[in-house]
Amino acid sequence: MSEAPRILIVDDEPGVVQSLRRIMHRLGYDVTTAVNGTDAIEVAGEVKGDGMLMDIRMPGMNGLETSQRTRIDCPDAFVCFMTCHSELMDEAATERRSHVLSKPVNVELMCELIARETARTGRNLCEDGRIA
Amino acid sequence: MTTSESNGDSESLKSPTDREARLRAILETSVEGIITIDDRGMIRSMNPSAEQIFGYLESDAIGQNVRLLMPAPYRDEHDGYLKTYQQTGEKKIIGSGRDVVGQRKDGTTFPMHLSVSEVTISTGRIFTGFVYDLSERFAAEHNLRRLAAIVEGSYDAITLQQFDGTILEWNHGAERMYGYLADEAIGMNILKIVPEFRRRESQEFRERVSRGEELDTLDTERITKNGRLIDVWITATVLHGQDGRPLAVATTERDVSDRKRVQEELERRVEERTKELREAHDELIRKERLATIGLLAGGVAHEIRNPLGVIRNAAYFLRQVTDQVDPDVRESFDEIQRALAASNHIVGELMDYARDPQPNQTCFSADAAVDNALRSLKFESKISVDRALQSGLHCLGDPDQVERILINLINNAIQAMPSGGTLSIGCRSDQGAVTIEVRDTGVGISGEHTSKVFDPLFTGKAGGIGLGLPISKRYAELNQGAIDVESTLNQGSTFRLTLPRKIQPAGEST
Repeated sequence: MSEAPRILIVDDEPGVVQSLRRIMHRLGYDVTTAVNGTDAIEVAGEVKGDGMLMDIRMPGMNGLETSQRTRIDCPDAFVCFMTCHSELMDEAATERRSHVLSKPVNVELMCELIARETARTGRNLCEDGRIA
Repeated sequence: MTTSESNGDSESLKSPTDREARLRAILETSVEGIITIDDRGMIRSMNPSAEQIFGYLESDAIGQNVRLLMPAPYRDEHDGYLKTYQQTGEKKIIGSGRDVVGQRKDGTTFPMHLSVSEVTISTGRIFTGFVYDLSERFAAEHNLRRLAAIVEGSYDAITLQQFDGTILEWNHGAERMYGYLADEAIGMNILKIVPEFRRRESQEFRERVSRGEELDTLDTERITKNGRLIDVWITATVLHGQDGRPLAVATTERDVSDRKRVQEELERRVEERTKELREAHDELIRKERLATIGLLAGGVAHEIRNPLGVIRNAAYFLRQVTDQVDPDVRESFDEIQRALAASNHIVGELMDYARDPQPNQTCFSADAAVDNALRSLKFESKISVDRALQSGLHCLGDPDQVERILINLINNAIQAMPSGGTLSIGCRSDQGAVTIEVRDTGVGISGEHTSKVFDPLFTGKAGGIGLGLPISKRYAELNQGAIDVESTLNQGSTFRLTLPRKIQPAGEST
């Protein structure tokens, strides 16, 4: 394993971003954050993430569009959409390598998903996604 | 006159002058008109009353034929009467009296009573006519007849009653209204047409009238001869004798049944309409309230999800990095977890309530939906579950939403039985519909609350915010179904969900 998997967290709510960042960081991921779609696209161009934790409903560009545009730079990245109810939920679920988790997100489940996704590309840190 | 009458001496009567004076005095003061004529019909004298009655002065009348005082055709016949009498002795009027018509100087005629006597004196026969003007009496009688006709012809019942209720008079209107002919009614007691429950009122009314109280009308009921109860409006007047003592009670009674019916009908309609309007108004307010609650619920739910998520994340992080050997720490994390789950449930309810999820209409089997719902819930051993599911009943609707309704109803039933009981759940076909019944033997809902259990935020439970049933109702309606409840306090409740039934075409497997 050359380097830690890179996770991009995008949510317009700083509290959500920070709390997730802390967990992911503790799990050993290389974490980058953004608080809107435009920032996310810009950051993704630089870091080429392995996966994204993406809020769907955000001011400006929504999470679905953000993920689609971000994937231009990192086409193999998986996406965990996080949402309250949204009419985009169904569409988001049809995206390639995507998961839709409803808010408040069951973080344990999310960690498992990330572990599974990173394992598929051989970039996982641990099997169960638990903080050691 | 020199002799005093007060002496009473018979001697004065013997004096011819006195007698004449006395007779003249009688003539002069008599209220009857007295006219004398000779056998040729010529007027010989006329007293002041006659002068007044006919409007002639005696001096003008004397020597004229008495025909003067008669209207045609008697005027022309009078001479003939006299002649006939003188020749044959046939009397038309002499010695008797009769009502005839007289004519005044001004040509007007009037009724009068005339009696004629014949006196033979030295110079021949004279006839004396005594005339009594009947104009006033006739007028009074006419008046009375007219009043009687009015009374008799009135459509109102007009009666005269003694104070003990004995009927003295009974007009045609009373016959028509009450069905008793005057012959039957007169002598009968008025109580016979007063229904039992109105007797006291009727007696009091009569007593008050007889005491001379200012009266007044009475709205009451009467019973007709054929037993029909009618509404009547009565006015009463006391009739007094000449000595001022009250004699009897006269009443006018009107049948107001129709009027009352119309009025009651009108009142009923107004009441009905008012009720409808009030209900429409209440419904509007309810809908507005629901819409507001929906908006608020959605907004709050949405806003609270992020902070809840942060708490959840932070708690997860802490649990992962903290020494969990300390039971207090572990317990604290569990508490946070439970509180989060409860909050999450509330948020979920709010979200469900706020949106109108369009049902995904498919055909599904009712018993399967019930089983799915039962499977997704945990039952403590104190609750026994009694299933009575008719299989092969297919409903049309969104199975997820229906299951959600059933889960709500079952949860509700469980919560209504904190110390245990029986949950009975059944489904059956019911006139083109499928009815799923969820019954508990729990605390029940008091009468005034049964209509409110489907209102948001109405809850009898300590936990939850009472959106389970409103959501269920809304889902039921979205699926063209309905939901209702029957409940008895301390005995339990039965919730009934009715859904449109899908009739399977023959041959198609269920």
